[in-house]
Amino acid sequence: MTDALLEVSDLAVHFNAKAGARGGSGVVKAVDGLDFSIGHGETVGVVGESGCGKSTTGLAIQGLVKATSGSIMLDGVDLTKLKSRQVRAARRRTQMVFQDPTSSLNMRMTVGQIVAEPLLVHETLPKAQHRERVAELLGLVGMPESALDRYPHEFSGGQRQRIGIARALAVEPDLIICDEPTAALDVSIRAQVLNLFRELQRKRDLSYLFISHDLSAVHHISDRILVMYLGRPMELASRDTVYNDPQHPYTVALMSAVPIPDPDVERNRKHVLLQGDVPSPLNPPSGCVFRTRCPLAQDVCATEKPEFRDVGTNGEKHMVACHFAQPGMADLVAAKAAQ
Amino acid sequence: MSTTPPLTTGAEPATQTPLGVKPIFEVDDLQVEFRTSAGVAKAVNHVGFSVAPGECLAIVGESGSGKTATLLAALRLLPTPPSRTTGGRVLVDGVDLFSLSRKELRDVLGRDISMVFQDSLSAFNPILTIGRQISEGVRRHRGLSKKAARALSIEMLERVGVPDPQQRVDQYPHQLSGGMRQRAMIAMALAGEPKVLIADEPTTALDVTVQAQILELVRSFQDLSIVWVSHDLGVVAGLADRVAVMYAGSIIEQGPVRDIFHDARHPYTRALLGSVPRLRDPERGDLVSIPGLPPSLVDLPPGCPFYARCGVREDRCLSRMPELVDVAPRHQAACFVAADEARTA
Amino acid sequence: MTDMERPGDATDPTSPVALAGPGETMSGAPVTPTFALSKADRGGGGGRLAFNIGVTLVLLWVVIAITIPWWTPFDPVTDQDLQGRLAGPGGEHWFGTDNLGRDVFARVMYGARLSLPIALVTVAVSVAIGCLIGAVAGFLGGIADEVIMRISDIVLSFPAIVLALAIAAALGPSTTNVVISIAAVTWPEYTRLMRGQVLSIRNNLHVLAAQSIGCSRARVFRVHVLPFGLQPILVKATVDLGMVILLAAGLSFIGVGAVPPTPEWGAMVSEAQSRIDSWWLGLFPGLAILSMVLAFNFIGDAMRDRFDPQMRTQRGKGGGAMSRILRRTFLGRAGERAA
Repeated sequence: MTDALLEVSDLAVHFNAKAGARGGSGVVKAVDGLDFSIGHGETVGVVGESGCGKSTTGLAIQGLVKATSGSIMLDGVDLTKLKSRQVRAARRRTQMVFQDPTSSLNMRMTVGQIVAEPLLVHETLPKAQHRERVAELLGLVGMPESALDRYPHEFSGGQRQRIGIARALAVEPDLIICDEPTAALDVSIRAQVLNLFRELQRKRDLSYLFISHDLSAVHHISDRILVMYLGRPMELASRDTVYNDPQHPYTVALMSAVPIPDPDVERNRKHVLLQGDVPSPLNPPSGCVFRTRCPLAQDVCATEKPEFRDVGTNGEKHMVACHFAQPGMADLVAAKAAQ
Repeated sequence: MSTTPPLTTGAEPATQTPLGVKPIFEVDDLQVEFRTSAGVAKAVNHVGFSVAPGECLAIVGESGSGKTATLLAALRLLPTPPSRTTGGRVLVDGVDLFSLSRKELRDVLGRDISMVFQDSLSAFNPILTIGRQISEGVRRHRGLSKKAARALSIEMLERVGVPDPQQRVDQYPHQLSGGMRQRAMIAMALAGEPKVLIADEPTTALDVTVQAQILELVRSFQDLSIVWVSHDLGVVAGLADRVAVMYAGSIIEQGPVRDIFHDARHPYTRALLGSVPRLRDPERGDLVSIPGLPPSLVDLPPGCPFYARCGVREDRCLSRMPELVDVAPRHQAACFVAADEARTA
Repeated sequence: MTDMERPGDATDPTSPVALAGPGETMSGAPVTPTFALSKADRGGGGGRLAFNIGVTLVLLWVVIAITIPWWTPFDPVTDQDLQGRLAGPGGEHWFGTDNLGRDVFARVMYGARLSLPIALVTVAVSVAIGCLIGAVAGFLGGIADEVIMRISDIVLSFPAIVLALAIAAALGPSTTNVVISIAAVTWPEYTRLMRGQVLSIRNNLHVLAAQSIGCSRARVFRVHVLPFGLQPILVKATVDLGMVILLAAGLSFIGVGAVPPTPEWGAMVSEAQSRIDSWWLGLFPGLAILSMVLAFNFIGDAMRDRFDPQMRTQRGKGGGAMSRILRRTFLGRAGERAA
């Protein structure tokens, strides 16, 4: 895939963890062996549970945490090899939208100052034109121009998220990394923001890395979906494939756990229940990290780390990290779980 | 005070559950206000509902719709000030909670009705073991010995699916994972063998796979009456027998779960359902988004609170708040337009 | 910084205050009604009264310090009347005369011209040094942080007055040395406060957001960290103005501060010791010190009540605001620390 905007290969982000509340210390492999790419104008969703490394992935691409190894190529430039000054310049190409629009905005700055800050930092525009540009950006995200001189606390959560999006758009990035952008919003407001994201994509040919635990939102907005578990990629395929024909047992369980807002469907479908919780990232299982909760686990899963390999047919790339990846995984897992 | 007032007030239940069974938990015309710097916020306005034995009622609404305030006020758990319950009646198995003394209330809470919260970490006392906290209630309500209470705690933990209950009982809340803690909180709530369980978004802070486990657990409590507060329509669809939808402090629609999801009558409920992205949708058109924002509770309009955002609004909606009227069997909506439609249909 | 993502953190928690804010949550409800408890809700009326008293007193002293030469006929140093020495209050000399026949009223009023600037300069120096060092320690962390904090621990381990006394004695008695010695013992408190502020602000999401835009470290610190740390500093500095006046008087009382015949309140009280019969010699400068210390405490406390909701709730436990102020006024730093 040479036409990819962003190409992440074998990315690893490790932290040295001090002895925490749950005891133990050592290296936390927050992200390990991650491969994926994002095309121009494409939206890749990243889903997974707490601690799966999806937020860390976003931060690593934005250069806010250091990649331990691997490469992050943005238009052919490896971001991990840049010096700190160049990293800051590179941040113009990618921008972030955060989960909590209340705490991600500096409450002492006016909306105008907040949205103009990237312009100021990257000096892409003469200062005299900032106000005009900010007004234009606010219009783009559906905020009135009068918001310019007001403070974030005067706005609602959904409006604050719009301000955050306007800020991200200010320097015309190619890629926007959305880290749980709708988690803090109410259902009806979430719909507004999701619609806005798609509208902006149509208008601006933006690419998104859409990180969320909300599978329905990710499914709604993404072209392809990456499923992560304990820092490792589990499955990567188009949204429909991930939903209709997942080949990783974890994806099957995850999809089955998402409640569907329809009583007839929700009550009659078979739920695949995983046992227990996500293991501690300080002490991940050997071999396949999912094996401790996997209904299909065999001896080989403990000893051999499954390769993240392409099982796609008729030209579609479908990456899975499972020894037993096969079409019809959903039925297999359901049958196994029912035993 | 030598004569203890009778616990049963003998009051007639104001509303019968549709099946004609005497409700186990009933809230009638509840009104709650909050004193704020901006003025008096009317957080709960004339809210009434009832729950039949073994029934699960879900209360759905967005932040600020008053769903949590309703339940906390009903159990007299809201701090006063800033809150004030200005009217209403709450019956638990025929006992009017508002007529009880503080002490009598404490006897009822945890024994007849108990509550599970969203944030299991802060709902537990961090410096007491799980077992001690489960025991506390049952020793008080059921007069068990320390030993018996401990045994019961272990039994309860086992019942809610906590592995190694013998060890877990002596652990502190922070030593348990989020899902495990939520199970322990359910164990604590059920230890007093309550007739009614109030659950305030108990799975919101959990991962989906863990949420699925908890939902499965709750579904297994067949005889328990449950009031489940949630903003997640998916969870509600899988759990509730009946659904009440709240908006700006009022119930604007209630009815059987299938009616609400398939035959919603109130424009807000319809829009809310349309705004949820669904995994099933093969096509992805734009989601239904409700323009604007809910009204300020300090300055509620005299008419329908949804007026400003409503797609079918009429002038009459401005004059007064529409009452909940039957639009189908056991199904009520507070909307003039929906009421007319139901009448002509 | 492993993933800490949790679904829906922001939806209404069970805390009563959060409950009180149905419109304030992320819902996107109009923010016009601020549901946070206002000062009035907490019965902060007493705080306002104290604030007004404090401001009035301070303003009164400032006016006196500026205008005193125009409305007292006596010079505090040169106008000696040995015939009329040690005269009691009344008549021409409102506060009586001292053992050299100087007018005590004039000397007490002129004292403000010394005490106020000493307090202002000392606190300014202390704040500047303390905040800078503290901010550096908090922002850089690591070894710099360790070294700075251990040094400040050493300074803080001495009772302030004892250490200031030692420094002032070593430097020799003079007004400048009073400033130096007091600043030398008070800076670590600002260092600790500022470091704590920076450490907590550094983890705010808006700081990460600023980095994600591409702000340089210097800009992040200057625009997104520093302004948030200043509020508690301002409060503490105000209270400390009173404290420094007390300390300065203490040094002069002991004899290592202002040199006679300078009209300094502490020195005047010291002189009065040997002439207990002439009560007016000690009472009036003593009252002057008391009024000044109380005034700054009143202002500082009112400010704290406004800025810092945590202190506000503590008021309920630790006695009333008045008792806290009085305890600090009369027991000084020791009393404050002990409390």
